[in-house]
Amino acid sequence: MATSREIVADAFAHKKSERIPAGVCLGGSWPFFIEGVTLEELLEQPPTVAAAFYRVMERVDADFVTVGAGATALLIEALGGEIKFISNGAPEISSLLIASETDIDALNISKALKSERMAWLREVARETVRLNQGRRSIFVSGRAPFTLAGQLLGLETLSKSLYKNKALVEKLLAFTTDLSVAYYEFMLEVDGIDGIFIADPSASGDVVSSRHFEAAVIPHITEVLRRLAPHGKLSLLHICGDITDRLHLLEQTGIQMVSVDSKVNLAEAKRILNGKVGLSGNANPVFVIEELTAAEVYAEARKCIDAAAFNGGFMLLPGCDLSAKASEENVRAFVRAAHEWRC
Amino acid sequence: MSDAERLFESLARAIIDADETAAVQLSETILAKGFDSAKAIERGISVGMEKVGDFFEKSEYFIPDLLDCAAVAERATAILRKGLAKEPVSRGKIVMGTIFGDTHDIGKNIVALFMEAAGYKVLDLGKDVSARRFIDAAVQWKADVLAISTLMTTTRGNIQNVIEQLRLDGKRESFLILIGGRAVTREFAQTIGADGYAENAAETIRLLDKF
Repeated sequence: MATSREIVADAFAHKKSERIPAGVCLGGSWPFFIEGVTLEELLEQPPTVAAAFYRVMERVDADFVTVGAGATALLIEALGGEIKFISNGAPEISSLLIASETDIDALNISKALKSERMAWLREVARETVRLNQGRRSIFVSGRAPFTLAGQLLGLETLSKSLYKNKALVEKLLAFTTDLSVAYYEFMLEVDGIDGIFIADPSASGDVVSSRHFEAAVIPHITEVLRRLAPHGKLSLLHICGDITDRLHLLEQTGIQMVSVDSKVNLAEAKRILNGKVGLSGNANPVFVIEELTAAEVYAEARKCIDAAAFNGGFMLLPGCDLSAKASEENVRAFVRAAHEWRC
Repeated sequence: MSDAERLFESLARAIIDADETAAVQLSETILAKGFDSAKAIERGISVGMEKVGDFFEKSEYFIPDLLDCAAVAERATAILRKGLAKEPVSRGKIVMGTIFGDTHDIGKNIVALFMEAAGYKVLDLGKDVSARRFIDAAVQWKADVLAISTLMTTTRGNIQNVIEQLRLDGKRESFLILIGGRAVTREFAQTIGADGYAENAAETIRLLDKF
């Protein structure tokens, strides 16, 4: 019988395998809620963080496991930003690092990656890989250049600057592209990581137009993937909102699989991607995984699979990050739907 | 069509096109010719922003477009205000904010801009606003509506705390409660006893106009 890790690799290679792989965490907070601990409590304790996270992944039997999800604000903190730990989710950025083009010059990526926080994050990844022993597929989670730009400048200012200050946007995106690449390379120094998971929530189909997506999002994801290609890792991209009108642009980036929001019709996405890019998704994390019964969650997950799993190249994922109130029983039912489906 | 009406229509067009130069020129011309500034705001700026909201609903405009148009509307409004003999009668007073625990506010900020462009007076409390702050502000400001947003599923329950606290204070009937944001739905609004739910800025204005 194939391992979870092999099943995931088959999906990324568009090979038919004995079952569909499933993952549950696009962000990283839900396992900590389930375990009744907070990330802040666990800082300075990489083995405890990894164990808490991985224990939940084992219990729900996820094939796809992320490291670093829910901790992306730590990278901003390492650059000199201020973050705030909150009880109901991932740490938040509490002050913006950039107000003008000159502020970008003051940021030092190499120095940031030498910070204690980043060493801590890499140690969590190392410990997760050790606990995993090659069974599940481990992906390093990070942010795409456009979303990082929003974290540094503020999404509102970034949005306005797309029209009013193109020079700032270009300079900032060049910086965040370097930052994204450097972050992934830093984390990929851990042996046993299978892939990179790039989250780009601010490039949501509800936020930016297809035109801005093509100009300010696509070239930078392409560049990140081009520079990381020598590592030979699997790659998964998640973008929030309805991105149906721009799915056709993703093939050129070199991404292997795209994770879509529950707003996207999976069958239509499958048709547009046409086997050139893999697809994952997309049960609604609140209105399905949190609010329905386990049996109903199972049925909804099967609908996703039925819509998009034919011919391989599919992984079952929630359409966005799990809600803190999602029950473990429901999440287990979600994964079971994939594991019980036979190709 | 009168000269004034033509200018108001052109101003609406300038708002829709986010053409700041044209909007400023038109607003100054309206002032110089002594046309009714209040009507210019209503028939130029409000009409233009209403159309911008329609374009957003049809996915023809996105967040950067809304912000761009709203900035032009703000600039033109500031010019036209100089021609007002007195502050125009507000269509209603709204206290708004993002609920406690949630710091996502871009959607709320856009809705506030639309409310102002539509002639409502808005007191924006910002983000991470507690139930007590919402209620105290609404009471002190004599608001008609409390508008509360949240993007996060983990914080939407806090909206219910505002409603429950209003009941405990015996003030639930003093304010209409309007909610919005990605984490809430029409059904959720009904469940917690809010008076209305709007999916976006344009729908918010339509709903407020009905209240």
